[in-house]
This record gives sequence, structure tokens and C-alpha cells, in this order.
Amino acid sequence: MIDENGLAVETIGLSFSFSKDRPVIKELNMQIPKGAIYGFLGPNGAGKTTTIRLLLDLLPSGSGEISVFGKTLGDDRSNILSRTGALIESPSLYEHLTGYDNLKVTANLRSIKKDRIQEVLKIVGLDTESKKYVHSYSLGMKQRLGLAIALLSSPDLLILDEPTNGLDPNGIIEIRELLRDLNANHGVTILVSSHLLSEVERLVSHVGIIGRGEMMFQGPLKKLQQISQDKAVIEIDTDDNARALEILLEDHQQVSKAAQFLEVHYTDRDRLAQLIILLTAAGLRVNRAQLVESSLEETFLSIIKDDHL
Amino acid sequence: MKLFYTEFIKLKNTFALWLTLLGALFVPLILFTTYLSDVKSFVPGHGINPWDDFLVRTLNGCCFFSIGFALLIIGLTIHIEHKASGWKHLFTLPISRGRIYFGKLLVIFAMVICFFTLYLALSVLSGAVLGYAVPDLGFSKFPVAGMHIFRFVTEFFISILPTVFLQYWLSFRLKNLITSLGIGLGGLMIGLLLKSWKFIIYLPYAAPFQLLNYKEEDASSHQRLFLINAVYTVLFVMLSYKDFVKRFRG
Repeated sequence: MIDENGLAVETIGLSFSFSKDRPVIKELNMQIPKGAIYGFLGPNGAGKTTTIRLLLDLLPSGSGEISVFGKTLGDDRSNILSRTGALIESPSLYEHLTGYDNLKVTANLRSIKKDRIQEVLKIVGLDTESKKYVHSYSLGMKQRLGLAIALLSSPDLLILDEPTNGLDPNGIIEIRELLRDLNANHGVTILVSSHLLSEVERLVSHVGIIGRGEMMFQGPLKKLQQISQDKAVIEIDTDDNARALEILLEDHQQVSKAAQFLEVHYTDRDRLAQLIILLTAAGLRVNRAQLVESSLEETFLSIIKDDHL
Repeated sequence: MKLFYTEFIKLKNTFALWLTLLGALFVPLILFTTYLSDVKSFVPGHGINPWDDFLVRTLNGCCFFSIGFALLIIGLTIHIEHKASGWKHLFTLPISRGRIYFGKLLVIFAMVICFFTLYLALSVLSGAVLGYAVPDLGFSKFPVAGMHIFRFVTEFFISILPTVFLQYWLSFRLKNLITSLGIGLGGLMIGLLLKSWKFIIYLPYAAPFQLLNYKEEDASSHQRLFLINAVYTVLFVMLSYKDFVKRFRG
């Protein structure tokens, strides 16, 4: 059982296409550990929303398998959906009703007690605004109400498709804090999609990067950070770069020669000082020695472009 | 029952709800003011039951206008979901699509039945008030032909069933309210214009107009119409249900 392996969501070889010659999702293997905040990243049109719609049974199943809490959607749809809260793209809100009535609609359909409505309103900070009509809400308030609706059933899994779309920086921080709290204090597994790594890198524990319908990278955020660190180099410019290259190669350094300087593979924090000492001891004058790191965002972009390997 | 109640919550503050009330008031109010404004023309001859003429006008009004209101009620009710992008949310709830389909349909039927009940009740009431206000009109001297009204309503309801199911299907399939309403009203126009064409009974939208100038004696001639309508009803229910459950994605 997948659930016993500690996975909240798993897809195996998931493929989907809207038309025969244009596959949108190709052999996608997604693994979301229980208790994780999984950032599902990729550029617009990469297949994030389609994958999420497949997970929620909003699209006809293509080939491959989808398991949520160890059960396939076909076998246990009702149970899976009763444990899942979702917010897909813009929230589904009846603007002619009050915030409270919007929650009441979902609460009734999910057979949830009215007390819970007040609880979720407090969680998202809309308890004082619940009697107002939704058409008078700001974009941020609507997003928070959408989140409240998703939280009504105290879900074990929360699926959020670009939940911070259109929010101002303050709104983004609020949503991030809320999700962090839900994960830490209520043990909710969260899948949050975004096209910007910077938007979710301070929130997620795991990352899945999708590009052109394929999973390009998947794993803990630390693994992505490690890739980013592995791409860091030290740029060195001396008065005799040819001699410097010889010295560095003799010292078994991974070094390459650029037009104006040398690039040495960065391994740890002491490396920069060690290289300067090595070169100056050989009588060379070091004009410049600089650590050039690849940002997480650059790593993300290179993964999308499939040129990270 | 919860689903039914929840659908009604969604109708709060909507025009669909007001339309059920105001639409039902429309024809009775026009009849009432027409009788009052020209009493002399409507004073019946000795021994003539004024209800007969009044009911012909009322029931013809029902044939002409009520189906249009019904189409509007269906369109507006379903449009609430399109406007809110509500389908995707409904389909991620642990409720079967079949329940959602029938829950909404039940609400639509409740509103349409409520509309007809109000329409006929208000019509009879306006006749009764006219009888008290202007005794010369003679309404208070004769009983209301309740059985006649009941028979008409039953036959009329059967005649509009395919249209209701077809319009329900169109309304959830077409996001644009104007498009679905346009098709419906276009169908009604054709049904009215070609009312006497021998094949018109095969057009579901034309059925209400076959009951114009309703007489109980005509009931036997309507048997074929009802049979065709029954076939259409079964067909539209099956196809729209299958479409909603298997293919419709919101």
C-alpha cells in the first residue's frame, strides 16, 4: 500500500492528452510524502493545472495510476475527496451571497457542522467580514475565503493551484504563514503549485518541477539547493592565468579556462582562501577571486530548460 | 434533501427567485387591469359564465408566456454555477455527479411548479376580486372550473417536460446565458410561427402552443403529442444525465 510507504499522493506513469497528437502530461511520476509541503513548479502551460485536475478527478483519467492516501480515485473517490480540500485557480465563489453563506453551501454539501464555519473564518481572518457580500471583497479576501472553503472539512490533503495569484506581497505572506501553520500544527499535507520558485521556496519542504508535461526534478528542497550549490564556481584572474591553470591542475582542482579568467569548481567555504594562498605562494599576483553562486531560481530555470545535467 | 436546500441558498438575492414571483404576477395583473379599464366590453350576457372567457385568456397567457419564464428561470438558476466557476468546486466534493444533476433539476422543477401554481392562483384570485369589485362582470355568480384548470395544468406540464430537460441540458453545457436562452426562445418562436404545420409536434418547443384555446374535448387529439413528448423526455433525460455524469467538466 502506498499509504504505508508514507506517501499522501502518488502518480505512476500518468499521461493525459486533450487530443491524440498533443500529450499534455507524459509519464508523470509524482510522489508527495505525508506531512510535506510540496511545491509543484513549472512555467505556464507546463501541465500543473492539468495534473491537479487529474488528481481531483476533474478530467477523465488518462493512462497511468493515481493514488491518494493509498487508494485509487476509481476505487474510493468519495473517501478521498472527503479528506481533500482544493482551491483550483480562482476560488469558486457565489458573489451574490455573503462569505458566511458561501461557506454554508459547502458545509451543507459536506455535512459539516455550523461551528466549523466560524472556526475556518477565524483561521483565515475573515470572521469580522463574513456577513458582507462577496462581491464587495478584495481579491485577497476572496482568495482567503476560497481557502476557508477548502479547509472546511479539516482535510488531510490540501491542493492549491497558484493560491497567491493576484495577491499583493502582504497577502502572499499571510497565505504562506497560514499554510505553514496548517502543516506544522494540523499535519496537513499540502500541494501548492506555482510558476515562480521564489514564491514558494520559503514555504515548501519538497519540490516537483514539471516542464512540457514531464517531471524534470523531484525531491526535497535541500536536494535542489544542493544542485544549486554544485553549480557554484570561483572565478580567478591572475597576472599569469596559464601558469595559474597548471598550478591548480597539479593541485587536483576541477578547473576550466575562460577568456579572461579561470573557473574553479566550488566545494566549500574555505576553498576561496585556500586557492588564493596556493597561487600567491607560487609567486602569482591574484587580481580577482570571486565566488559566483547559482541562485535557486537560476537552477530552477535551468532545470526547466533541461540543461542542468 | 440537504442538496435541495443548499441549491435554494444559492438562489438568495437572485433574479431567478424574483422572476418566479413577478413572472407569475405578470399575466394576471394585465388581465385584471384590462377588465377594470374596460368593464363594459367584458360584461357577459344573461346566463353566460364569465369564467369561461376569463380562463381561455388566462390559459392562453400561460401557453404564450409561462414557458418563456420557465426558460429564463432554468437559465438563471444554472448560470449561478457558471458565473461562480462553481462546477469545478462541486465536482471535487464527495458527492456523486448524479446527485448534483438531480439536485439542481429538482430545484428547477420546484420553481417551475411554484411559478405555475402562483400564476393560476393569482389568475383565479384576480377573477374573484373582479367579481367583488365589479359585480356586473358576474364572476361571483358562477363557480371556478377547478377541474378544467387542473386538467390543463397537467397536460401543459407534460407538454413542456421535454423543453425543460432540453433547456436544462443546454444551460449547463453553454456558459453564455444569452446563447442558451436564444436557442430556447428561437425554438419557441418557430413553434409559434409554424403552429399549424402538421409536423410541428416533433419540435419540443412547439408543444405549449398546441394547447392554445384549450378545451377538454381536445384531450384525445393531444394523445399523439403527449406520446412524442414522453419519448423526447426519456431521451433528453438519458442523454443529458449521461453527458453530465461522464463528459461534462464544468
